[in-house]
Amino acid sequence: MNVLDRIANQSRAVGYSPAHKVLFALGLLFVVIGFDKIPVSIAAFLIVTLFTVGWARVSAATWFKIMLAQSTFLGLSLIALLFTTTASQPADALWGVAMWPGWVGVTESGLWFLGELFLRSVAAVACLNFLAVTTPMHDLIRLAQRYKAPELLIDLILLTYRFIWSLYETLQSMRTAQQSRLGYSSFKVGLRSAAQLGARLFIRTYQRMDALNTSWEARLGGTSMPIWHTRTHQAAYSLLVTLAGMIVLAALI
Amino acid sequence: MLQLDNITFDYPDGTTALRNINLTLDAGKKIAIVGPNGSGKSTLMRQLNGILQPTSGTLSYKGQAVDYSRKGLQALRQSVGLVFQSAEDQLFATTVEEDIAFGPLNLGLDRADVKARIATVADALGIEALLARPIHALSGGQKMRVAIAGVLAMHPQLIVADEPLASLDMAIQQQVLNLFDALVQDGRTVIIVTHDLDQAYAWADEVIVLADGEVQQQGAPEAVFADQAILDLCGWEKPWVLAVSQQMGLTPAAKSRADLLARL
Repeated sequence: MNVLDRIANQSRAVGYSPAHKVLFALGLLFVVIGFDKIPVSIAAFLIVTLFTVGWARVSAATWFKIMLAQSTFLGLSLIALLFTTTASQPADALWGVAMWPGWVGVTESGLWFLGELFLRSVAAVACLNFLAVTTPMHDLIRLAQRYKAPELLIDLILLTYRFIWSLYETLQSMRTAQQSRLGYSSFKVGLRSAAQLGARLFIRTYQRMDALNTSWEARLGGTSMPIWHTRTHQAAYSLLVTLAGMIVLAALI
Repeated sequence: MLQLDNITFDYPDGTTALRNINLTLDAGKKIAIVGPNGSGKSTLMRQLNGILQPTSGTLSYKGQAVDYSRKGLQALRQSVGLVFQSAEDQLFATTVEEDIAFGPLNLGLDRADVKARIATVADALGIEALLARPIHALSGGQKMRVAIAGVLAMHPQLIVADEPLASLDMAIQQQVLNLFDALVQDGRTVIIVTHDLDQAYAWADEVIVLADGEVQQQGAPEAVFADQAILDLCGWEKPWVLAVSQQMGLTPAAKSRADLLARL
């Protein structure tokens, strides 16, 4: 997460309208899921890749590394879907065993379905990744504020986001401190250290919450975070045009 | 400006953190609060803008006893700004600019005003280049400066800062101290809670020594730090500029390192 946020902040796309980026990413996501065709999925993936690497100038290596990591997880979760169970052996069976009370195996149509599903998932994930590597979290939060998302939700997101970093830093420094006192020298010791770290982190979170609350009050904080944004963004019409084109194409295929 | 009369404070668990505190904090003063660990410095600081309410005794601002209702506290906190020791724990927005805007927006100022205030404090603290950065991308020293900026942007009459210089390098420490001096010249009061006696001696007009929840001394640093009984009580050594001045028989004692060197 640390990595994604850093990439987003450094990408060239950071100066472009978050609203347009969100519209593009979500629009494409719905096209991929809604039309559910292999060529659409492939086209969507290629378009997103093109925009991420060519337009937002996120390095191709980084992009594919992120995609590969997530695709591996997707692939692993698809293994179970590889197998079809039917009452009797189907005509397009490629491999299988007869098992009471029916048949378990791999079929051609099953493989097609799997391929379709995999491509669709990868394309869908790519759409969201595009958003993650081009739009910093605070831009998304501001966008939600501008479009009048419920205050409570925004405050929760905001504080959670801030807390994740805060906790992450605490976690890092506590772990370093443990390591420097040989806290992870063996598996057994390591487990104990990790448990202590977890418990300590819990208490620390509570204390930090208290401290944040105090300083919130000291600066007259009310029931919610006031809205403040000054960064102006350029419109990203290329994204919108591409999205529109993609919708038309997908409908035609 | 701010007056504490006979303030005593007990924590809910029964520990008495402050005992019969009587203090007058005047306008246009540089004040250092010093005291050993656990002497009640942080508790005292939290009394000053009503985060903690005294168990007994009165806090008055400009001659008026503080009203601990929501509205009264609002007024007090607008006038008394606190900078806490851990910068990490007082920044809650996602970007620097947003965090500095927090206080001014809570005061109900309009956008142009808020923007102007952000620009002014950012310039004063040398953090203009950081405004768009996310908080988690800042170093410790940068975070502390943002925390100070967030409080200064509310234009408090009295600023209380807990170890504000501890995480800053020497050049930035000097920058922040100069900024504090400018605020004081403007008629405001700056209070620093610190363990650095040399700094307290050189910078402050007035030193308050706190030990065991009681005010042991309040006065000019030359007088307070010359008091051997106080030094012994707190386990301190005399600030070195004062020690050298006394050893050499300089009267009045040199105030700062530069002053001392000039008079050698």
